[in-house]
Amino acid sequence: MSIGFGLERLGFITLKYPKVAGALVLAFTAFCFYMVPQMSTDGNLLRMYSGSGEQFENYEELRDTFGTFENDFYLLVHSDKLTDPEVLEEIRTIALDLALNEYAVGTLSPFSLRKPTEDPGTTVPAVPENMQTSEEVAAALNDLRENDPMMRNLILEDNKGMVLIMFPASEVGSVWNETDMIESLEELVAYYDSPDYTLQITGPPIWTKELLDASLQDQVKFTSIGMGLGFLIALVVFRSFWSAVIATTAPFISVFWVIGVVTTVFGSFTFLTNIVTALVLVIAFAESLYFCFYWLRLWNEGEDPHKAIRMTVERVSPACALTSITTLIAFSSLLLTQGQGIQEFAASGAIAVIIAFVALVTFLPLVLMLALKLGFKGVRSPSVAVTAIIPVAQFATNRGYKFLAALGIVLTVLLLYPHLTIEPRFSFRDYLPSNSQALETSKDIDQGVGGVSPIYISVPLEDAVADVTDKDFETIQTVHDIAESVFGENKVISAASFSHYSDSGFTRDQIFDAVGPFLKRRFITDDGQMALVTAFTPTSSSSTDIREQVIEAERLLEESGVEGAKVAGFRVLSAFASVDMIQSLQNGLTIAVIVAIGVIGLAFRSWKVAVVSIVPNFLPILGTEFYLWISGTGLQITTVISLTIAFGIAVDDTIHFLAHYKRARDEGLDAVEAVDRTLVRVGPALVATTLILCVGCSVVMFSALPQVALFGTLTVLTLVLALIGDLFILPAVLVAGGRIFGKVGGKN
Amino acid sequence: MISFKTARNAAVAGILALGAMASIAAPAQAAEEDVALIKAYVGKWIGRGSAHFADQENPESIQCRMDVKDADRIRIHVDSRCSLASVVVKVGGTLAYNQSADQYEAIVNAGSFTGTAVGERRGQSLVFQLRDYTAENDAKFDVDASLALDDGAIALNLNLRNKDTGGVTTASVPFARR
Repeated sequence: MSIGFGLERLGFITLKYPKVAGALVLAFTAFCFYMVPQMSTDGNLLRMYSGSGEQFENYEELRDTFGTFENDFYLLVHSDKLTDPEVLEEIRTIALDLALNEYAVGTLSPFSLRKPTEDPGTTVPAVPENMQTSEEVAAALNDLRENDPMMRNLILEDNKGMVLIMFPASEVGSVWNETDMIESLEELVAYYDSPDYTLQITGPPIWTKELLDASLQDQVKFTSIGMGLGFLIALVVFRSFWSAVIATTAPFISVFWVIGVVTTVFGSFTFLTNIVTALVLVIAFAESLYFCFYWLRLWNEGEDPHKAIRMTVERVSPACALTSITTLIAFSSLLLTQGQGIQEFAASGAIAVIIAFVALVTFLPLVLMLALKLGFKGVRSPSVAVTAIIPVAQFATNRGYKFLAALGIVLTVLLLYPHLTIEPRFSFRDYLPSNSQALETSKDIDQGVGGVSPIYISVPLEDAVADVTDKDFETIQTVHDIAESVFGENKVISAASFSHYSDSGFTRDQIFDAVGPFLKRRFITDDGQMALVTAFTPTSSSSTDIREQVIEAERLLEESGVEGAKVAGFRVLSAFASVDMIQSLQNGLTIAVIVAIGVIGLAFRSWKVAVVSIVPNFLPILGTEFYLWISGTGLQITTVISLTIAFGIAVDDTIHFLAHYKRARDEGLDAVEAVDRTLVRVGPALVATTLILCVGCSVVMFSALPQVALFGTLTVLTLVLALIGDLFILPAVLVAGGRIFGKVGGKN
Repeated sequence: MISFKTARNAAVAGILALGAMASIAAPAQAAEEDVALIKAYVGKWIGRGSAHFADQENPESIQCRMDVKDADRIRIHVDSRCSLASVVVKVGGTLAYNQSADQYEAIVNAGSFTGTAVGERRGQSLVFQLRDYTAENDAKFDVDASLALDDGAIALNLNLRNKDTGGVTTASVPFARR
């Protein structure tokens, strides 16, 4: 069996029955084109964490019991004249009008809050109406901030701003409804345009929309620019317009096949799986370029072009099949990580790899046959741009193979240190567009009121009555105090917050009446079985800070004897689940490397080939991790994914090189001669494919989403290191191995 | 030659027919103008007013939005939401011109309150005095509300009397086009 495990037979079948194969290809292409208009992107970040473990389950339970503040809109009002009674009343009008938004189920603002009076059942606005002077207003606001814990999170300390919060109805979930909701709020902001104050909207729905918009723009950008750049590189390499067109057809069709299949299987793309269309483009381009390169070289050397197609399928497809298998292994390793988002990305990536291979061995040979039928005559020697480095590589290998081999091994060993010590890192803000206005507004809120990003502690109540017994109230107070000790005084709200009113003689019933039924449900469930304590943290807090705070809170809760209390929330979910995911992804990558090396050994039926492939395959990953380590970027979800994928692509070069080297050794050449010939025949193709891959991935570096841009940077870095490894280190190791181990590589 | 009897019958038939046509034409034209009076209020409205709660010294602000939509040839739908005292109250209803009875009619719902009224027209103004028939049962409040369409503006007034305490809460909201 060949190194491609027989998968190249698909290419032979295509050549044997071109009409049938053509009809099937056309039918499948038509189906995929039909699916393209139904393509959509889901911006729900929770989809990424769904199924990721205990933290996600806690979060779902919390959301079902209490609802959360996590889909809320924040309207930040800035005004230097906030204490002007007339301006204050204008802002009150805005707050009241916000409550009338058709998507609102409730609002929270200084104007929606009420306080009890001595008259039982009567409440009055917490911010009095009809104040006459600025001093009166300032005194009222200061008094509220001092005594009412809610107000501290809603009125800026310098009395120059307020936060108004809108709670959207829970049935608003689809992307289009959220778009309409955001539009309605923007309309409100525009309606109340005034020189006396500024209004800015922010909140998770805005962030999600920005993420989605950036993601959609990325997809269009990557695909169209990637296609254009790939074509240009093919044009430079082949120095022929029609050769470049031919080389572009397989990647072009692969993109549409992937869109059709992913939309059919998953229903929509996510911001993560959006990357897959760019990946399939670059993978398909690299393989297509390599295929066309080989075909044109055979033709150039005098072979009949029709026969050259068959020879190319025979000689190149097995290696392409093996590279597809190793890339498939890389994607499949991601399936080991819990979390729907990552698993969908893994499955989509695997689909993309399979599609790229099928397009290469079916669509591309059919295109070549058609091109010949139409009179294609485009045979030129490849551009010097891709051959210039080969003599350098040959010289370095011949003269310095011992040094290079030793250098490769030593570097691999040394770079294990950053690999083993690099820290996982997660920050939600890294996922938002770098020019996000909503993010800037969130920073303003963080600075003004110390943060509105919630962390929840749910508390089971023992007596479980709607009116909350003294004993249960004491439990809530205990948890409240613990939360304040961890997250900050005045940064926590719960049923125990209103000590100012209870100290003034108001009963618990009166206080709950004043708060209102909607807000009361954010403190106590209607049946009195569960209480909720909410701490507000800055949006800018890192996952490390959040994790430390949560661990401390859990420790204190256990010490205090409060049973069944759980700390949860999206911040908690993302901080813990993300770190778990990162570690799992890193383990998956290690498994992918080991398995890939094993598969290479199996394919070549030689443990020596497997050993030889360790250094050139490991070195690019270790080198990129070194960059992450030294730059302080750390190991993040996207960086591990990019390392995994880049490894899967980089190992392709090693396989193509080894396949040619082995063939040369089988023909009786010694190690040095075989390396020389392989460098001449395969080297330019490796340079060209790496160039295409790097240019394609460099487009990704210009994404507005920092994580996606980082993905592009790391992929380019890994590929460049892989090329250096395959042109210098691998030949050196093969030559050194040829003399130490005897023949490397068995017969087919 | 046509006989006098035939001619007389034809003339009477003609006069009756003209008369019938005239009587159809005149009410049809008047009906169009009557319907146009309420149709002129189709659009989006915003209102800010005040509410004075029973047993409370100071009035509180009330903010409302109203959407008036074309329902059919003779009806408009009114959909209004008002925010006060941390609560949002929805008020909806239908105003119509009943041609056969030559009057304006309104049905308005606000939670458990359902009011019906015949509109009182004074020139180009129209006032509906709504009475809550559910107040005749065990409901806590007697409700009186009026909806006035006047010279391109809308005004909503509300009176709620607590049947137990006798306390009266009033609210008054003038609307302007948004």
